[in-house]
Amino acid sequence: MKKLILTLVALVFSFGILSAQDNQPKSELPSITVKTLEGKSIKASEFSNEGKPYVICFWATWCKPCMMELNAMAEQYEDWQEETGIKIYAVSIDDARTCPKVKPLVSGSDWPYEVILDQNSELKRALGVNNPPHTFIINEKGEIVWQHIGYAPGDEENLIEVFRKVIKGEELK
Amino acid sequence: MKKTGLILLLVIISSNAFSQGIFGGKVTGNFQMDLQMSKEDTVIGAEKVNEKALMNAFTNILYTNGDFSAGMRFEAYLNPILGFDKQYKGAGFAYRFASYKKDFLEITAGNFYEQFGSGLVFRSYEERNLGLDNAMDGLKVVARPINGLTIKGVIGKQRYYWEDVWASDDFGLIRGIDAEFTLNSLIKSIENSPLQVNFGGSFVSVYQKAENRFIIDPVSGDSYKINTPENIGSGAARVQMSYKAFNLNAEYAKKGQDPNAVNGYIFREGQAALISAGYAAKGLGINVSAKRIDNMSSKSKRNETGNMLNVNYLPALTRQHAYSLFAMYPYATQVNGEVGIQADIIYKIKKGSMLGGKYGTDLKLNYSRTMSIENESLAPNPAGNYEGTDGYSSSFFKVGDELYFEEINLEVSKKLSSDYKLSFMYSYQTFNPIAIGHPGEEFVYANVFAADLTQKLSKKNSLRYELQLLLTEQDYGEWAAGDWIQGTVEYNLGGKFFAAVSDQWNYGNAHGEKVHYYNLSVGYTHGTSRVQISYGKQREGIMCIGGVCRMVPASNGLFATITSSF
Amino acid sequence: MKKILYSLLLIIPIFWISCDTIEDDQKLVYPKGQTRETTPITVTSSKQRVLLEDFTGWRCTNCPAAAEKATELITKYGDSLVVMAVHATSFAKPSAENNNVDFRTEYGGQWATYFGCTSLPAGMINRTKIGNAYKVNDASWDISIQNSLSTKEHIMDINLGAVHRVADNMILVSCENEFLKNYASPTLISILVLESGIIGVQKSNDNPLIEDYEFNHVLRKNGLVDYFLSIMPISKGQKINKNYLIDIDSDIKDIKKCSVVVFVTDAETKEVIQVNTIEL
Repeated sequence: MKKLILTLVALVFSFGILSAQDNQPKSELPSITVKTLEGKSIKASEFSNEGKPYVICFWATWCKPCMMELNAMAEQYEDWQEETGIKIYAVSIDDARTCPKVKPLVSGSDWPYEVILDQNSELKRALGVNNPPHTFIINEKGEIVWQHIGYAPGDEENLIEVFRKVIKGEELK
Repeated sequence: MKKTGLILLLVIISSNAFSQGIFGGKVTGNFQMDLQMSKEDTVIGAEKVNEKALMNAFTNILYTNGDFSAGMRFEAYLNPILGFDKQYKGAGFAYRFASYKKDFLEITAGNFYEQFGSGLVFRSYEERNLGLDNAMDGLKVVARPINGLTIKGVIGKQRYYWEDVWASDDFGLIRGIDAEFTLNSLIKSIENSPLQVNFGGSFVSVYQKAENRFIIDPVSGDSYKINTPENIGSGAARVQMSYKAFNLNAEYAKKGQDPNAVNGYIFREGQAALISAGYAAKGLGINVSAKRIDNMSSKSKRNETGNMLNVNYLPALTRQHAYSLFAMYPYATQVNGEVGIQADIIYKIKKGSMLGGKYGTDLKLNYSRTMSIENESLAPNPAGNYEGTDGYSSSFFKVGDELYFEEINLEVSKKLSSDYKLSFMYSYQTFNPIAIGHPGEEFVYANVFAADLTQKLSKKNSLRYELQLLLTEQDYGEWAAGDWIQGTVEYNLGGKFFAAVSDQWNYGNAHGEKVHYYNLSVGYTHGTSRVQISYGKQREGIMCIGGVCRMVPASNGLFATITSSF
Repeated sequence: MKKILYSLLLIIPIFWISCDTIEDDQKLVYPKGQTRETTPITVTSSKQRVLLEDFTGWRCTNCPAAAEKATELITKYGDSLVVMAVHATSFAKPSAENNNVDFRTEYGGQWATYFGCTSLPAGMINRTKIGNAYKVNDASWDISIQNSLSTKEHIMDINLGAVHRVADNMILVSCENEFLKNYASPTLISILVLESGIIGVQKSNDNPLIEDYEFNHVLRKNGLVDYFLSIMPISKGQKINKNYLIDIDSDIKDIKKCSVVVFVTDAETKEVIQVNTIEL
């Protein structure tokens, strides 16, 4: 039985590698399906900000630093948007236990983000996230250009500085 | 096994050498290593560790190229750190898969994780920090033939430490299918209707060879064989609706006859129901959830106790705490039967108002209560216990007599000025020791307080002060030892460097030593890599994530973690 | 169209999704002969009874006299006496002369050998040794039964219920074994079916060949012999309830003329502690 599985793995692997060339993605993000707060399915490869760069933040209701990060960013969000047209996807990895808390928390805290539910951590795994908070900046080509883990007060300043560079198309060190 | 893994690894690593990768693909991954050096400490009950150092490490490598992806994980537990089952000892490729999408079909061969609905009948997931991993090994097919319909099919066996689960008949084979309909996508005319409806259903069947289990009548010596069913089926149906600011989620699951070690080999069928309703408006969020679980432990190996081989996931309906004294008496789902409710109100007092202050104030109120289910024992078997019988009867709408856990919890967060932010939390908890396997002990009633002040020293440097206090009258064991106080000071430099000092002091312990659990941590973060070193005493307790708990034994010494994503 | 076809393929796995449902009577597999079904208890007893085993055979010319003796004793002792006619040894070997009727049973033959009841007629009173032997001559049956009734301790009572199930041709026997005193030795229980009123051929001293002899209390096959009732010491007041299923012996001519005999013996001494009988 194990040999059968390994054969299947090898088959899918070789088949996939050979035919993968035909399907170059528009986005570097995997086409993993996640859900919005309204219950609609969306593929991560479909995340977009009208051709502009955007941010993805992984968080969970039980992760204190994540809450601090999202609250700190919420305070600045209006100004940031005006200046750069930023859009933030807040991907929650809350599972069935804490998932019911996501919606009231988002509206009760009055967060302006596009909240995504990744209940079984599929997107988290695909993007190599170990522990939240983990933040990504995606440029207009759909490529991941910057990542950061953890949150300390003041990190949101770092984020917006890098984002400004990405908007201008500057090279990041 | 190792050969295929090595070949995959070589292919992927060599692909990294090319700037574009093989055929334009991309390699990503992550890495984490935990190192622990603990010494014996009789005061806190830290066991003697023979090895100089204990280490857990893993690395994930993922290759993606458009619609194709493949990956593997290499894990090493040499030897597993305290709190991880010793059966993890060893190293190897614990996870490997290849996945391909074409048109509306996605096929994954090898290891995978998946969840049906809320996971009441099937959830395969990992929680690396808790040592939980019930990855499936087999085949997964996901089809989205039309927009709004998703069908998932899985077949395989679950991981069990390092064992070759395919070589033994002891490990059950899981087959499952799930379908989900997003009505508003299926029916174009209601696509943008304010009423959004999703519904879905799943069937799961676990096959395991019948077990030779006997009960012995002590009086006559007669032995009776329990006729264990080989195919255990479960089904679930769910619906999710939202209408403007309101939403409603409900799920019901039923499990067929499944005499197993967790439920004492009774033939009673299992049932679970989850319902959750909420209201979400700008600045106000309300949610009420209720659940009922009756004999729903489902494992792919009948006689397995412990945390491995769970086929489904039964969430606890209690609040997950981030402050350690609030989690002193943590609650884990009683899979054999419990009824619970939880309510949350989250409100933001607008900035500029009288109560809100200059920046606004966040209020969070939470209440949860979990009780036993009504339970009437049926006739026992000839041996005097309930193995081989139906066990008990329980009326769906009746609640049992035993209170397991109750908590009321208030959290207030306020930004005092541009430099100071203060959080204050209070909780009153009632905890029944039966929930952690100590029946007969008296209830624990605790008042817990926490104050958390963050001070911005400059644009990128900050200090955080945290004070927690637990007051309780109950003081009779290691885990219910009277009053506690905890203080933490954390310094953050430029978002890259941090240092923290904390002490947890059991000053109210009248029976034993008033131990100080002191701890010093430093860490450095750079991009996606982070190093953290802690030194000090760790209290024995339960570390809970998502309603599943792992006992962490007492330890005294050094603990280092290195993580990185690439 | 292709999409729908593919989706249909995914429906196939539903056939894998099977679910076993085990019926109530299959959940616990009872040991051989035992069952969870019960039948109401209709015969209770509260006194000590004696089992008289009459070893006999159709060729044994002195046996009719012994059988008559047994019948007299039943009249004398009433329900304090239970008689069981065990056809065994070469005396019971069938031949064309008796129309090849075979009343022998496997266990009957074993008892005859073990207890030394091979020259017939021979009897045993509660399988108790009198002198050095189990065997009691029919002349001494009366006095031996009297002695047994007056000296034997009343240790337990056996209450019975029995029913003949036409549906699967089984006899269901429910036993309530109530111990009135502490009893330390392990005990065994035997559940047997006896048939009366069988007309057949019997040799006799008076009449060479009686063609229409009436055989009573004939021990039939498929009985449950020497099942463990208790392996540990029993305390006073303890009740052991068990239910048994017996396959009906195909040789039985008339089930309505049958009765069930249940007796409990001491596993070490082989003595009968208590006996009871119930008509079907």
